[in-house]
Amino acid sequence: MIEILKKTWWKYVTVLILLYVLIGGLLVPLAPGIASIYPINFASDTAVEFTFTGYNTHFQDAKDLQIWFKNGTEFYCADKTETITNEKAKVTFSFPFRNTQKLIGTNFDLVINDNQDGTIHLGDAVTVLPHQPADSTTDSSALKPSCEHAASITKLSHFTFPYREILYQSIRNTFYHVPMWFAMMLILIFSTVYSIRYLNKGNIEDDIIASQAVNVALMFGALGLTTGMFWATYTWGKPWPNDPKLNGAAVGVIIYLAYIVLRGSLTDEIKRAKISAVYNVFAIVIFTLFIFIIPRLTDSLHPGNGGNPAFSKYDMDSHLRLFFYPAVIGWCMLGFWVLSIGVRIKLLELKKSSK
Amino acid sequence: MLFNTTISLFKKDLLIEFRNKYVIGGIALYVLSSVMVIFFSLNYNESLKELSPVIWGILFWLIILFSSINAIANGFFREPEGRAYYYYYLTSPQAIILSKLLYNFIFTILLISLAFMVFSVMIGDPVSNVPLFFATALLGGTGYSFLFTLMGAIASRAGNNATLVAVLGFPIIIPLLIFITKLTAASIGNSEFTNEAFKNMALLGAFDVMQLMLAYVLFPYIWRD
Repeated sequence: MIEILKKTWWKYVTVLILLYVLIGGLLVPLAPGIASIYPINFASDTAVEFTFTGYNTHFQDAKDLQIWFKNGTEFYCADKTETITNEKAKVTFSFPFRNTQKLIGTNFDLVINDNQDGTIHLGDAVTVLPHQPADSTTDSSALKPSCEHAASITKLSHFTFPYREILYQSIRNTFYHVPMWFAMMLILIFSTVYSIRYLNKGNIEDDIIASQAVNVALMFGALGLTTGMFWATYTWGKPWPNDPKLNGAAVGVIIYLAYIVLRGSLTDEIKRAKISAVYNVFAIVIFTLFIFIIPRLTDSLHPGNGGNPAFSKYDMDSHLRLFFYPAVIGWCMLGFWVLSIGVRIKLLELKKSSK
Repeated sequence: MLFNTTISLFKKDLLIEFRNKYVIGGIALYVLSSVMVIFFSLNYNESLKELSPVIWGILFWLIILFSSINAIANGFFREPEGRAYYYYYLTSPQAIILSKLLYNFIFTILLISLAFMVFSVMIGDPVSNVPLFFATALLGGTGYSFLFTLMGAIASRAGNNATLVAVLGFPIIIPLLIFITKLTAASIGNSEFTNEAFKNMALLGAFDVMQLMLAYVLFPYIWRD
């Protein structure tokens, strides 16, 4: 294993992969989306002018701008559309009374289609309130019922990352925060394998690899916590929401900090190797329990827990995956690179002291 | 063979304990004075009446945590270094660890009983589902004693550093504490066994079994120099 770690070629590969992830992950724009709509509810049987703001959209430049409200499978056409800028438009919209009676209290999605932005969508954009006669500004007989969903849906032509409410640009953190935990976990498993190997064979090199691997894993753990805290501040409102996965990760990091304290308190080389290997095996079991089992028992803000989807179609689209998988591989390889440097330094120190 | 050796080692531990009665007395006094500290700090704030049952459970298990870490972790420190070599020639490490686990388990259960008696006299006894609380005490006591036995064994090899037991043990005790406090809250709230309680009990039991296996497999490596 050390021989492979000493080779140079895979370090060039690591640099290339990480450059690809860093540059691509930061430069690819977000897909167009609808940022907000005002007002968010309206009474039936009235004509209401909605103003909505887009993100990365081209309302003015595009041709065939079409706007619908969608309820279930039915589409309702706007009466009048007026674009103000590329990212702002006004639309007047109304329901006939007879048609909305059954729709009162339900939510409508906003769907926009044009030839530059493709089809964009804001779920549960507006709510229909009961009709109030005083508000009535239009003759209900003049209003159109649901209309044909006429135009063909246009596919977005350029390469983008998905636009998600709450996440917005921070979706790029997927390439940093998530791979940190993958790398940490992989290197910890690697460390445990070498600890078990040490216990079976008693080769001091295995102990050096295991202990250096824990150091590298802790570095990734610290980075994972930091990137996660930035992300949480942006999306969940505070850096440390009371989330079981977060607390589990923190305890996991403390368990491995205790490993370092344990090593520090032992001076005899063989004894240190043996006892810290035993603790390392114990620690990985508890750590797995913390990261994988306890968070699944309770609700969590993280995807994949408490009924939230994990890496399903909803969270990850093919464009994100194109950078996410290389990011996971790249950060793991970087971890092994750092590990190989640490191991080689320790091996040289060992050689020097034994002379 | 293993069973007989374990039992005779267990008897030896018991005998040592009875010869040095001050250790048992010390731990009992530790529990008593910890409860006193809690009692007075609550009583003179006029907050004893407002003590919620869940907080009662948490205080109870924290007292057990601190007294058992003192009692168990020191179990490996007590015998002089030279005697370890004698055992090394005499028995297998499996017998040593099993006898220690058994001994510490019984010790912790006695500790829990004592603490519960003192708690119910001084602070009150809100437990409504006694069988569930009993099961929690049994499973939780097992978890505490097994974990601190192994951590005590590790720390005893690292120069009898008492801080080390806490540093190593506390992060690992947290999942155990989560299940125990959940179960204690369930045993206080209602008198029925819920599905949730059964699930937590099963997880606690699985945690105990896992620790037993890890201790059994890993102890021989710590034992030999």
